Amino acid sequence: MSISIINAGVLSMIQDQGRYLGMDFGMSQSGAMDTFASKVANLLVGNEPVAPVVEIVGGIFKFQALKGGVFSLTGAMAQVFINQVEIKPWESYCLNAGDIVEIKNSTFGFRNYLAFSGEFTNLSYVMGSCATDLKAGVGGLGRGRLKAKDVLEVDYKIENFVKRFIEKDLNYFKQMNATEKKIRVMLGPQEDAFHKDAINVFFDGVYQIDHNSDRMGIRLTGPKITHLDKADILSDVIAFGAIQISGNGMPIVMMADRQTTGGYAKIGTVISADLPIMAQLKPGDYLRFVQTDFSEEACWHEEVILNEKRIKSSNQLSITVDSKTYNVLIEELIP
Amino acid sequence: MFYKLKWAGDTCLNIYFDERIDDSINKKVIALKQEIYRLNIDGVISVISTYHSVGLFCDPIRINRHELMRTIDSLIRKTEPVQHKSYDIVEIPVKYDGEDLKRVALHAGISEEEVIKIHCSPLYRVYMLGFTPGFPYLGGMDERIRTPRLDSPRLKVKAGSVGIADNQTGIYSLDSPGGWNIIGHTEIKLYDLEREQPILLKSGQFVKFIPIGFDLEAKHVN
Repeated sequence: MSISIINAGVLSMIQDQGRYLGMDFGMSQSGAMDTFASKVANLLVGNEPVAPVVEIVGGIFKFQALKGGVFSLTGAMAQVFINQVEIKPWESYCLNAGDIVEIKNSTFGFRNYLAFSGEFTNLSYVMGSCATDLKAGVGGLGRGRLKAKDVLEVDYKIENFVKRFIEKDLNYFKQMNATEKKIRVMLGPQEDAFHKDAINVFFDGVYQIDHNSDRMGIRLTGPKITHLDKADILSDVIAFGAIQISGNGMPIVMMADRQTTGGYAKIGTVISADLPIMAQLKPGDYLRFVQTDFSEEACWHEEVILNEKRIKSSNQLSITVDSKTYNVLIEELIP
Repeated sequence: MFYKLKWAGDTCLNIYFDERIDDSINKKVIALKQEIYRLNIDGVISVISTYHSVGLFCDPIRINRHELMRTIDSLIRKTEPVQHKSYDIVEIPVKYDGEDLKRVALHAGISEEEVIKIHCSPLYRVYMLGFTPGFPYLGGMDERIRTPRLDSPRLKVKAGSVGIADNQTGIYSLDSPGGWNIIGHTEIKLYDLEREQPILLKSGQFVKFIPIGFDLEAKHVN
């Protein structure tokens, strides 16, 4: 299959799960911001969960399938059209050569993920990853962000199309619809750099996402958090989801494109199960940090397990008539 | 040697030694990192070392937390600090023609030639890499040429610029904004995507600055 990009939205990039082999050398982790949506997008089309995807932010993303294949779109609720007929996100669909897909109007979220069944064959790999890092100039098609007229080649093995979808009874979807997101945080590694009162303020306050947020960090405004003494520490490693408190007392949640090491005290770290929720926050959204610890770990794992109980195949027929393939969904009519 | 294990969230296990810049601590930390890589523990995806700490990135589903911490505890007791059979030195030729060389000299109350002689005489240890791809945190700079950062950072400092910020010296690996005092430039690329191994330096190596077009013995700069 190959797809030709007609509109690339505001910012769209190829991402995988990150450039882990480069992190000891100062390369950012990069990779998908919302690892839940990116993994599900892949599973819906029968790929390995960690396969590369297209991460889309803002505007209109439009592409044409030059050859047939299977795709899915996950992440923020958005309007998705195949040849101007609206379809639902978080499900897999069949595409014929010539079909045009348009994605727009993301609401309840900020990022979308596009997965294609099969393996990309024309991506640029550095240190074992095709994740796009604009500062380091690596990843994707080797030319930074995706642009109109870019062509993505996918080695797609034609087989019986399986219609897959996901049960949306998860915390991730509940938080997507909430006006005030609940983000679970474990204290540390430098909680000792803060006064007990400051920690109470941190867990009590409502914070708003600042428009200066990006893939490096999500900046928040809200109740000020003061250090006991100085904000500096000897550089240590910065985890995905680590929360630094800046000089003016505001939290910054460090995300995929963060620097690998840093010298600011970190009050807490967002648990991995809630990072996808962080990744879907847009400027103006509200959140509240909730304290948690390892005693609740089983619960976090339960929320992110992606097995057959979660990713389901439906009663789907793929019928080919006059060389055109049709998605046929069988629904029982209740008399 | 004192150490403590501390989780940052459920994905990053930190091993912290004493919080100071110290050669024996740094050698221990680099040796530990290498041993952890060698063990190839299931669920440990990446290992990063800093001046005094090691961070292990883990897949929280695959990792057995308690087993990992037990393994790390016994590894720390067993691991010998990295020994240098011969110093692994990387020579960096520098043209000391930086815009801020005069500023550094004035601040130190010495001549520009003396700044150059002082800057290029030590063997600088690479304690860690971070900040940008391939950027080395170098230790051992002479206190005499310590200079505070610029009041207003420049919007763009070219990759290859050699600079001083307080008691730290380094080389920009990417074009970026910066507040360092630029004393020279090198053609050597710390980060080069055309190379098979894009990153030039490794923690534990040593950097030696070699002045170009400057006679260390002469009284005047050529």
